[in-house]
Amino acid sequence: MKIKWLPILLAMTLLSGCQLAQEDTVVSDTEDRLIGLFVTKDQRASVDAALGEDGRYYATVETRTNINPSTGEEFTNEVYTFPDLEGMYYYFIIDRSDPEVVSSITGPNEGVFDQGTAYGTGTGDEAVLYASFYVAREDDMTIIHGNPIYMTEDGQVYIASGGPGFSFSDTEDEGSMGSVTQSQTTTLTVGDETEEWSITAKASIAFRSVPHTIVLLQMDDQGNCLHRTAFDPGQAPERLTPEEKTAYFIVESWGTKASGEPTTIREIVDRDETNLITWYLLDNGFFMNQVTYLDWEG
Amino acid sequence: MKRRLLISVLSLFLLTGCQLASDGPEEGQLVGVYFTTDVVSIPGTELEVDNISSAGSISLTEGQPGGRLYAQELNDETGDIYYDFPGLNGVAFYQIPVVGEDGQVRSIQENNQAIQERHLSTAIEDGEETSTVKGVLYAPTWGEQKCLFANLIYQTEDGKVYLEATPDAFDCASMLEEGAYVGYTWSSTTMVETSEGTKTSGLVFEYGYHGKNPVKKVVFTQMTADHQPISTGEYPVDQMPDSFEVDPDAAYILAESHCINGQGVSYVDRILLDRNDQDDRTFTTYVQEIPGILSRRTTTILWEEVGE
Repeated sequence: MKIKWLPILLAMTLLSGCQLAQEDTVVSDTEDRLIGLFVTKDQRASVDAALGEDGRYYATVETRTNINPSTGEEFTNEVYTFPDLEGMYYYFIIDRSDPEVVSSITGPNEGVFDQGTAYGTGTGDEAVLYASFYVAREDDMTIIHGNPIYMTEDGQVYIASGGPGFSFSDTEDEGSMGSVTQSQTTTLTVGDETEEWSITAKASIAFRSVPHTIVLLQMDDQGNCLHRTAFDPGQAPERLTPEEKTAYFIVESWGTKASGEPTTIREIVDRDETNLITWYLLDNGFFMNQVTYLDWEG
Repeated sequence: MKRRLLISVLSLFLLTGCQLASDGPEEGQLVGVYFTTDVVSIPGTELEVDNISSAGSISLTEGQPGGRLYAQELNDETGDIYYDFPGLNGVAFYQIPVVGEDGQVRSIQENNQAIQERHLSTAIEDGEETSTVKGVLYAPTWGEQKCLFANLIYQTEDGKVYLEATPDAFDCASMLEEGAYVGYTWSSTTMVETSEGTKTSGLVFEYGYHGKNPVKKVVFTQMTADHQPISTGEYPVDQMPDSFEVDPDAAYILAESHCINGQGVSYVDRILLDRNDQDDRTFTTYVQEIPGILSRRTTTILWEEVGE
């Protein structure tokens, strides 16, 4: 028995937007395709209040300039965004135009600390889309909803309300994690053949303490501190040239637990890493990642 | 907690299927794989190396098939059953059904530190059940690299477990990059009589060899909250302690694994073990308990004073 499994890991692969419905290629001929999730803390005030009469909130296509976190080069691309909605989202548009090669185009996927797609074939084709977000703890229960994001055959992207949800109690603290999952089974037409395809979109949410200070330490290979920089969350530099003898960075996030106790989150960034990431809190209660490109050769 | 970027290079994926049906002595159900670094010599079977491909696959000529090596069913110190093949020094990977004294059937799996990323899943479709067991061996990309032979393990209807010397092997000298992977699949199906009629029960073993850069030594440096070193301990990887007591003043430990890659270049892999991170209660490295195969070695980090 032969089993095919094609794992696909996409970290920050940003390409221009994709229209899936093309002649002589794969066509989804049943329903709009699930491509991601829009996660909210206040469902009623956010997504529900913005829905149109058809129960949908349509995305806007936006052109953005970004820095490739691996090369430091700037590039522009078109992404789908949801202005005026409070929440975080991700999407992956899986391209099935070539049955032999499966690829996907990802969205800006901001605020994500773990993301990817996995594709395999068993009894039918299966695709799993996933991403993780951080959220700040609230004094009361924290309720999370995951609203499905769909793409129509003609390339329109929209959010539909009514996705799954879960709650964090007010006794849980940093490290607690929950998830929401939305699934869909659809049919693809490839030439004269049709095949069933199931898609699962998952969003995991974890509590993180709110930082008040970010500290970057440049360390040599003997563990001596060569340089120390402190700044407010969200104020990290876009690019940084390490000291010549820097062997690694220690990134410290100083914050406060729900109990009021101070806490420090430490991460190490080695010379084989091309960027470091710091986190800051958004007004919507989720965390946003800030990427600093490390120019080791500078 | 360190972020890791996994680079997967040279992912060679070789899949072969195997059906058990054959004539001869009572055929058993496939229940596992026994990995060795030498050809298993069983009376009645003669195997010779026939060809070694550039990708590492080795084919052997089976001179006289039919030889079996039966396992001994033993009990470990906790009373759990395990299977041992007398005279062999290898790595077992199995999922063997055993009927308990209460008449209930349960699965026995190996208990060793050489099988990595182990996973068991069961799928049921149209009433037919297929179990898939996955496991991986980590092969060093530098130093002592061996040919690995995957000998299949079977169980007869009356519960006897035996091994047959394999006609397939893999030369890990071709595994030069961490992340390189070669995988295999063996499967078997049996017909099971149920009250609803005859059903098919399948068992699939997916295993592979995963390249991993070997570690030479590990250095633990205990640090205060303002990054002042308290003490440094250096351990050859095969002498890593079972536990490590942390100084009460240490806020974190800088753990440096001194590694060597497939090109013979040394480098240091660093992680932080943080007192306040519940995930940092153990440190895991890999050591060659059997030459050519990397096994897990776990050190418990004792953040609190012993006796508290």
